[in-house]
Amino acid sequence: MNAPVLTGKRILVAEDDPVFRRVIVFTLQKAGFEVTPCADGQEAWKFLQEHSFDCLVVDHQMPRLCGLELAARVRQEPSRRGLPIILCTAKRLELDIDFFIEQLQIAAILMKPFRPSQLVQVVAEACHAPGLRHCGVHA
Amino acid sequence: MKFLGGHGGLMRPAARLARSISGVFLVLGVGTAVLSQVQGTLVAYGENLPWFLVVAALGGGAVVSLRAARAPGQLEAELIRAGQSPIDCTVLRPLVGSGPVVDTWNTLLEQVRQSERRLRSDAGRVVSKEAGLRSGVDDAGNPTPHPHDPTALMARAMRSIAAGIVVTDGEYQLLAGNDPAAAALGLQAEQLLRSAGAEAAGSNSAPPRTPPLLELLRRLALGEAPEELDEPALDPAARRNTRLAEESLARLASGGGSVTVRLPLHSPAFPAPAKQAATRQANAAGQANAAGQANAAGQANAAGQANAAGQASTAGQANAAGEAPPAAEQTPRVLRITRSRLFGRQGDAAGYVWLIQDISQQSLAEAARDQFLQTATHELRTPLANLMAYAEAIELDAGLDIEQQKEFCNIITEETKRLNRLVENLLSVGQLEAGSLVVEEGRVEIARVIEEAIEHTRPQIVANGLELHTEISPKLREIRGDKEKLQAMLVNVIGNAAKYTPRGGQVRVRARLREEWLEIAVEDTGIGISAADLPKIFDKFYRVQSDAVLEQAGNGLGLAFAREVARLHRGEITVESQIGEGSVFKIALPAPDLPTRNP
Repeated sequence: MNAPVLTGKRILVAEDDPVFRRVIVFTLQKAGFEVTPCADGQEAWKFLQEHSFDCLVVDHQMPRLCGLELAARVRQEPSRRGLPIILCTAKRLELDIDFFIEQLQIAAILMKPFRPSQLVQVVAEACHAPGLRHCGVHA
Repeated sequence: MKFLGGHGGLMRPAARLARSISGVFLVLGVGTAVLSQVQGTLVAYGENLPWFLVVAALGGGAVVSLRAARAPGQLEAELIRAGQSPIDCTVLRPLVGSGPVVDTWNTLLEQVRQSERRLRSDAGRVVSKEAGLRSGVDDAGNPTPHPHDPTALMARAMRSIAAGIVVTDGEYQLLAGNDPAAAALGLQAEQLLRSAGAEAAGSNSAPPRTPPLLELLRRLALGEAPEELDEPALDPAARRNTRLAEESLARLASGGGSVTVRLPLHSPAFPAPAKQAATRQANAAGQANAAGQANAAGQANAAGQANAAGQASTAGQANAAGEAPPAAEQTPRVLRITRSRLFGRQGDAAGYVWLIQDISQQSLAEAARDQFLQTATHELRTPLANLMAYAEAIELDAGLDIEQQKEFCNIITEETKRLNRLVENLLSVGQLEAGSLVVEEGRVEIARVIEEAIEHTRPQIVANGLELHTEISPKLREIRGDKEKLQAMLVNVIGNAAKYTPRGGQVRVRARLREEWLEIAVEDTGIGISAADLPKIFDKFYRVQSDAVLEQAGNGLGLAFAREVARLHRGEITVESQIGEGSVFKIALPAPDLPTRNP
């Protein structure tokens, strides 16, 4: 990781596995982001109501409110149409990637296992050009 | 040869198309009729012989060797000859070759083979009952058809087949069909008849005709008005089903020879615009229907048949009342449809014969397996993702202090263990699936096994904010069994109690000796299990469909494993539960007084 020009960008991370949440929060913080971690979609939704963020990193499978449902809710709010959403997932078989990129305007989908530096890279890209959809699928 | 030879003269022009199609269909139908007749003679020779043995034993009468694909006309002639006397019988073999008739014949033979049991129990009735045409050919001058009338033979053949069979003309208009087909299509048998009658008689005064088969299928698969849906469903399964249905319908509508497709019928995730209450009613009918149908197709017994016929009319009524076609709540129905092309004997008519089978039960099992695979890969990738992430964190970050590095290494070790546990579980599941789970018998100090299982689950119990009580009787003695499996079973059961008990609740583990039995009870104050779910919770892959359960990770195998282990120890596991109050799982294992160990 070089070029830490990302200071101050606020990232909301929703991931239910505490071990994984910790390491991605750690990596994103090291890269200079301001990170708000939460354990499920419901909690993330609450944070979204009260604060504003530059990028949303969500796990696909979470209790209470899954990543896709959360993304769908976010997209229903006109004020958050442009918020970049990055989806992390361990599922592969059933995921209809084109559909999600199209319908929910997911900026990037990261397939687990992935290197945290990849996450830092796509988050950085998403924060710098929030209007532009990245559409990258990182396997 | 009486009806074959004279077909030109006997047939009235109006019935020509249907007759010609039924004539070709005869090639398929008579074989079954012949089998029915063989079954009729079976009574004299012994009830319990499998039909194929009897066929082979009596086969000397008129063995027709069907080795290569012959001209359909010749095939037909031979079959009809063989079918004329009930004493004669025929060895029916699959045909070698290709082409629509051969394909259909082979598929039909397979169907007949599968309906073996039903044929046996039904044979008397089918053979003695000559009337009951399904072909719709109106033999006005001959109200009671001759026993060997091709139409009657076809009707009999169709009745005796458990799979749904429909004959349509080239425009997909229904000409004939049997009860299972009506059930699968959600029609009343009369509706099938009516359209057939109208077609055959060519009359305009008949009641409104049932829509063409393809249109019926389209409605069943996509709902009454798919274009009215505002946006595609988020549920990937529903979208996949819709796509598959559209592809299947397109293939069925295309020309060409034999086509086999799977057609998922529309599920509640893709709702048809219908009134709430009516839909619920229709749903109930649909579920019963799917079950009855699967019965008729799978077990193919007389009861299943009655069931399918009965349900058909229920579903049909819901339909006739103008409601959406029934859709089962959690088990979307799936049909397997084989469409084969028929050609008239003189090339003057063409149509299709359709085999329609309800494979919902089978596809349910496939869905459960897919679901399990997905869960398993997800569970495996989670620790893998952690391993990769922490390894990279250590690798890239020079700024880590020594404590953090140590901690990250510990996490890597823990995640490796987690991965290993998963692999072990998967192996047990594989054995469970294959029925090859074996217990290694040895002397087991059960009190210690229970305590170890408790220690194993204690972190989870503590993390969930639960109180743990244990009452292990000091009188427990050694039992014979497999220490590892017993411990895994207890970890599963205690782990479940911890998983499904809300914060602040209690988990109580008791063990005592009662005469020759060891009794272990795991009691919780958790969410409980409904009476409807209780009989199913020990089934493989079964998970209670409630939010409280589904938000917990699980694969629906823990209790199936527990039951298998209990059984292999000649014991049992039972459960009592009240929704909202908690559950008690009781494990009973034989514990005879073992001879004291030799020093």
